[in-house]
Parts: sequence; structure tokens; C-alpha cells
Amino acid sequence: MTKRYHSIQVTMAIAFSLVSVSIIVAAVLLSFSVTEETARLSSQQYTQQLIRQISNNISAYIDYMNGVSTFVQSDKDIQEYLLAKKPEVKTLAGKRAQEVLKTFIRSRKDISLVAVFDFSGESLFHDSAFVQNPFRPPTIQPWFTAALQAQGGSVISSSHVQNIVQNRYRWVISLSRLIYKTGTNEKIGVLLVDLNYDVINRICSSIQLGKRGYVFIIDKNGEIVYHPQQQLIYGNLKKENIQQIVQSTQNYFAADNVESDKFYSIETMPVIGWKVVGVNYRDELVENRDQIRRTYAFWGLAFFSISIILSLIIAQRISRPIRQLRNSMRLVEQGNFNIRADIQSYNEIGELGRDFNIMVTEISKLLKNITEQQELKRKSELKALQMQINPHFLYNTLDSIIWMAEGGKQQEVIAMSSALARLFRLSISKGKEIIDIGSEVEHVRNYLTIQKIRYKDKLDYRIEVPDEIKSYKTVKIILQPLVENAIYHGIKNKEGPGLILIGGRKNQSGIELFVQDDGVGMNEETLSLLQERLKGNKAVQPTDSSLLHSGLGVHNVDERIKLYFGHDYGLVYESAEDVGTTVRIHLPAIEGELEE
Amino acid sequence: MKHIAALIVPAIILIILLFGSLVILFFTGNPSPQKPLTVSVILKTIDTNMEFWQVVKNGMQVAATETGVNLEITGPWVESDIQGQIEITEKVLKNRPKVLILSATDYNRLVPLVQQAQELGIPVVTLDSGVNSTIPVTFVATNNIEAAEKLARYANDLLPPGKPVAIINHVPGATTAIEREQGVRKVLEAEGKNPILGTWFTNNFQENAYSITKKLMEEHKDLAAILAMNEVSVIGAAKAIEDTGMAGKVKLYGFDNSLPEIKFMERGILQATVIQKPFNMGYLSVKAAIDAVNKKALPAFIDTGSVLITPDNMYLPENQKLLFPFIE
Repeated sequence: MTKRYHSIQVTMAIAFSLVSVSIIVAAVLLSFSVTEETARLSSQQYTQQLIRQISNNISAYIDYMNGVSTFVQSDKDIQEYLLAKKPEVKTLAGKRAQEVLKTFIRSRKDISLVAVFDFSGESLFHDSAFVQNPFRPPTIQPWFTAALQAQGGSVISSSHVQNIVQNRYRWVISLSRLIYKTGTNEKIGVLLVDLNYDVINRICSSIQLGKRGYVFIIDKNGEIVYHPQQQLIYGNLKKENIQQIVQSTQNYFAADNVESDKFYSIETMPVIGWKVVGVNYRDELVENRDQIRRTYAFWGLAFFSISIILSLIIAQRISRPIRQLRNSMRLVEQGNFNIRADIQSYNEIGELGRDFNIMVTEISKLLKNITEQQELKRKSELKALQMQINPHFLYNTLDSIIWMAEGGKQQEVIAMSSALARLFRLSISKGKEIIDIGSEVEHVRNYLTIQKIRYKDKLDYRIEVPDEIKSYKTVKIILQPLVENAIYHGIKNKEGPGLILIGGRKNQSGIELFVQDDGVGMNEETLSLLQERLKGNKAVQPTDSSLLHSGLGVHNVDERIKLYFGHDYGLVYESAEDVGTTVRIHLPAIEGELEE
Repeated sequence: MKHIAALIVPAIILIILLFGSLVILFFTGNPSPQKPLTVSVILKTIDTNMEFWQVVKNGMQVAATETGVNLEITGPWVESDIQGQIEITEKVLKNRPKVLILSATDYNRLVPLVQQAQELGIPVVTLDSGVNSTIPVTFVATNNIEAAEKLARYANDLLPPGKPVAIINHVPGATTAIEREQGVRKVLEAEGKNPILGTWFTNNFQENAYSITKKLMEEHKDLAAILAMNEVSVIGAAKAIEDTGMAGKVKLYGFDNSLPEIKFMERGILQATVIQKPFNMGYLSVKAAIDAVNKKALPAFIDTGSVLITPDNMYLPENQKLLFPFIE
């Protein structure tokens, strides 16, 4: 991948967006699934409550039937009827027994039939109009045979068509039970109580579980007691996992191997073992799933947008000072050192801005210094040059030459003119500012030659610069101004001849040259004044104007040395009144070529 | 910084994906049922005493609840009111239903209306009784030929060989009459065990069935069995057999399901009857109608099945529901 430029703002905005957006989406999805799960649970609980209620309702009916059966089997009129052998006794007992049966059905529409059967084929129904169906005798009825097997226990049938009464076919739930002679083991008959199936049908069909959910009931053998789609199941058009329900010990599970996603909630009725099953479709478990989802998605999108906007704003705010700094830096690059980064943030970037400002200030100061120094150098050179061609000196020298020429002193004229020529040639020194100490010494020698001719015996000089230091470098025209100073201020005012000694040596700190005179010297006040001036204190002004001029010359020398070699170098004056003055010139020991 | 920069493009893609997932979450979901489909149904009769059609309606309602559609059930009061059904159908078509389930009272007279429905782009599902046209997308009914074969095969297995049988049919030319006789004859003629004396028509009068049966029994003392092709014929024939005390001697095999027939079966006069599955008929017709709306391919004929009921199996749980439909 090529390295492309990505601004911090973009990177940060994307990073923030990514983080916040991921969190939001995760939170939305999570809370959506939690809500869904909660809704599913509550729907499950609702279904379970519902089927428990159904189960309780049906249990109540079964209990009633059981109560009837318990009562009837021990009723003495019933017993009497079943035990009667003679027809007339039986008819009589039958009438009383029928009254007993009738009492259970009187205010109960839910009970469709109460009947007792003896083993001789006789039967007694609660309604005297009922005749036993001759083609469907009790002995072939499943409820009858089941009662015999149950040995006195109540048997609850599944839903079926009761055909024991002629011309009467009703859907019922049957409770049948063997009747014993009271206090004995003698089986004397079978009791039948029929519950109108309509009761169960009504209870179950009124239940709505979502749009498509429903309730069904199976008995303990897995036979369907009630199912809204019973015919479809028999016709194999629909499947219900009855086997799974019968075997399962859980009361809530997903159906296996059925065409749609169904959930079964099961409530097993005590005693009779029927299972009331609530069927929910998965997509209906959470009733307003789509709405919930839409709401979550809506808020998700809203937070999504907000977070992206916030990310952009935050990234923008954080990166703004950085951008400011960068823009300032660009201006600085273009050379504008007056720029200041105006960063208000009180943090790392703010500090950076302040540091930047300091740095720019420093740089501009340094730059200014350098410019000033350069200017100073040029000025100093100019001054040195000016000093060189001091018109006064030139005028005097030329005057002397004229005089000597008039006097016919040809030799002296030649010497002086040639010295003057050499002096100027050396001072030009091919435009270089740094020259060998040897050249400098030659330069001052020429100068002294001229002065010697002019001052004759008044001036004596010795140049004792050792050869070994002549190859070291120095700023040019430093000795001449000092020598000039020594002549004009030291020796000129002295009575009798004066001596100027120029020497030099190499020491540990570099090269030392000195110019020594035995002139009038300086008093302490003047010396300290001079030393102050050399330290750069311009406030100190000498009172003597000639001293001011010479001071300028000396100062120029000192300044140039310091400009080129640093503040460790320069001039040091030693002087005593009536003894003389020594100026020591400290220079670095530099050999070879030197860059200016 | 280089690594972070390299992640920018994937990061943007990820953000777009996450955004997209939310958008999808928002806009998809179960296609919100804009307007539940309404299935228009025109039955032969809406008389609530007609058990068969009540069970058909039950089946329809179960299918409607299951699939979340609405039903609009209309029809004439009596099956014979062909003109009434035609008028009702015209009215229903004016409302431009999405789909129509039609149980035709007449094989030919409703054909123009079916054509009209086709012109209007309304798919038609015929139920129980079809029309003389190939326009309907499917025909949901009992396979009468197969049902008759079932009955004939059962009779053939039990009848003493060589003795003749007779067929009592309802109306010549009626689809059910033709198909049922066809099925019976196919099996019996193929087996060749019992000669068929002939077919007698009752024109749907019990008395005719009664007298035909009596006459047959008088004329053919060795008559082994009567095969009656509908409920009216069965009841008439059964009464004649009972009255002449020939119960069990002359066997009776029939069609359809009614309380009198059940009683005759209990009494041993009716040996077997083939019953239809009206619940399945109703259920499957609605399902087919929905499929037709959704442009799903449908077979030309949907067999709703039939069951052979004998005294031995009549009280089996699965048959009780068919014989004694519990009408809510």
C-alpha cells in the first residue's frame, strides 16, 4: 500500500466513529435480543398461565365427575337397583335410583349423561326416555372394559362419540368406574358419567395464542382429546409431535421436525395425566417484534448519526490547534518569523504552541543577531580600511616624502614610498580579513618604517615575533592601530626617545601578541575607563577627545577579534603612568586556511 | 501512524457495513402484512343445517387462521338454486376479489362466470363440484372414481361369487353419479365375480330408491348386494332391505355420511360407506387459493381423500371425527 497522507482529523474522526459506532451497534443488537428474549419469556409465561388455567378448568369438571361417581357408587338406592334380581324389585329400585342420577344432572348442562350398568345387560340412565342402543352394548364399549380393568378406579376416556343411548350420538369425555357392593369385593355394575365435550371445545377454542397459536389436549396415551386441526392430523396434512410431547419431561420446548417453528408449552393435569399443550409460533412469540426492531434500529441510527457528528466535531476540535501550529510552521518556513501560534488549549498541544512560539522568537533573535554581527563585521572592516587610509597619516607621510624630495634625500624618499606601497598592498591582502600573523607583522613593520623615517630618533622599535607563530592566523590590521596608539599617546608626549616592542608567543590558551611602549602610560582612571569600553560598556565616555578617537581604534580591533574568534579573545591593557603601556592581543591558535 | 493509516479504509468499510446492518434492521423484517388477503368463497349452500358444508367451512376457517387470511363466504340457501348462485357470483366478481373458491351448483351454467373471472384476472379454485371448463386453476374434491373403486373392492372381497349385484344411482349425467358408477363398474367388471344387473336412477328421491330396491329384491332372489351411489339412494335402499327383513342377506354398500346411515350401519343393514373429507376439502381449497394468488404452480386436481367406513372401524377415533363432525 502506498503511503498516503491522512490528516490527524480524518484518522481521529474515523477512529472515534468506528469505536462509538461499534459500541452502539453492539448495544442495539444486544438490547434488541435481550428485549426479544424478555418478550419471549413473558409470552412463554403467558402461555403457561393460560394452559394452567385451562388445565384447572378441566380438572374442575373432572373433579365434579369424580365426585358424582364417588357419590353414586355408594348410594344405597343405586346399590339396591344393581343388586335387585327380580324384575319388579328392579323396576321399583330403578325409579328411585334414577332420581338419584337425575340430581347430578339437574343444574349441570356440562354433564350429558349419568348411567349405571349391571352385568346382566340392564342399564339405568338419568333420563327415563333414554333407551340403550341395542347395537352398541356396554360390553363392547371401551369405557366399560377399561372400568373393569381399573378395579374400582375412575377411568377417564379421551374425547369420543357416546353411542350407548339409541339415536343419541354426543361428543363426550367419559368417566367410568366399577361399582362394588358396599363393604365387599363383589362387582355389581359399572357407572358412567359423560362430560359434554362442548365444554372442553369451548374452553380451548376460545384461546388465542398470537395469530396462529392454539391449544390442544392429549390424554396420557397420546390420544388427541382436543385439537383444532384434528382432522388434518388424522389426514396427515398436519403434524404434531405428540410422541415428543408424551416423552418429554420439560414443559417448554421447540418442536422437532415440523413444518414451522413451533414451541410447545405443556401442562400435565394431575391424576388423569392429560397434557394441555399451548402451541406458539416462533415468529409470533414476540408479538410486535418488527415494531421493537424498528424502534431499536431507529434509535441505533439516530445514535449512529450523533456519534459520527460528535466524532467529527471532537476530531476537528482536537486537530484544530495542531493545524494552526502547522500553518504557523508553514509561514515560518516561508521566512515569516513574526508569526505567533495563538493556541488557547491548556494541554500538550497548548504547550507545544508555546514552545513553538519561544523557539520562533529565539530563532528570529538569533537571526537578528547574526544579521547584526554581519553588519558589524562589514562596518568594522570598513572602519579598519578607513583607519588604514587615515587621511591624516597619508597626508603626513606624503608631506614627509615631499619634504625629503625637496631636501634631495632620494634614499629616504624611496624607502618611505616603497614602505607606503607595501603597507597598502598588505592591508588590501587580496580582500581577505583573516591573514597570517607573519603578514600582519610585515604590515606593521612597513608602518613603523614610515613612522621611523618621520620621527627619526624620537622613535625606536623592535619586532621580536618568533617565526613559529607566524603561520597562525589573525584578523588583519590589529597591530597597526595599536602601534599608532602607542606612538601618538605614549611616545609622542614623552620627553626623549621612545621604544615600541612588538612580540608574541604561543601559550596554552592560544597565541599572544603584544605591543609594548615605554611612553607616558595611563593613570588608573584612564586605564579602567579603557577596560570598561573594551567590555562593551558604551555608556562610559572618555573626556579626552583624542582618547575617544584612539579608543575607537582600539575598540574596533577588539571588536573584530571577538567577532571572528569569540569573546574569549581580544585585547588586554596593562599600563602604568610614566612607565608605559602594554597591549596583549589574545588570539586562538589557528593554522591553515580559515573560512571567513 | 503508518499502521493506523492502513486501517482507515477497512474502518470506513466497517462503518458502512454497520450502518447498513442497522438500515437493514430498520427496513426489513417480516413484510408487514399490508392488507390480509381476502378469499371469496361461494358455496353450493350456506344452510347451517347442511352438515357437510359446515364442516367444509370449519376446514376453511382453520386454514384461514393458520395463514392469516380473511374469508368471505357466500352462496345460495339451497343447492338447487342455480340462478341464485349465478347472481351471487356476479355480485362477488364485481368486487374484484383476489381469488375465488367456487363450488358450482351446475356443471355448465357457471362456466361464463368463470370465464369472466379469468378476464378480470381472478384465479378460480373449484371445490367439490367443478365446472365444464379448464379455466379454474385447480379442482379440490374427492376423487370419486377412486372412492368408488375402494368401495367396490371391499364389496367384491366379501360377496359370494356368481351372485348378481345392482347399482342404484341418483341423476343421470351428474358428475358424481357418472364417476362413482364408473369406479364401481371398473372394479367389479375386472374381477368378474359378480355380474352387474344394471343401473337404476332415483332422481334423488328416497321413495324411488326404496321401490327400486324392493322390486330388485323381488325379481332377483339371488341378489347379493346393492351399491347405492349417494346418501338418498342408500337410505331408500336400506329402508327397503330393513322392511323386507333382508338385513344382512342383501348387502348394501353406499356413499356419504349421515346419522341415518350410521344407524343402518349399526343395525347391520349398511355394510360399508365411503365418506368424503369435507374438513380437508375446505382446508385445502383455501390453501390452494392462497397458492393461486402467490402464482404457485398447482395440480389440476387436488384429491382430498375418502375413507371406507365399516361397522368395525366406524368408532375408531380417527373416523369418529369424520362420521360425527363436531361443528362449532
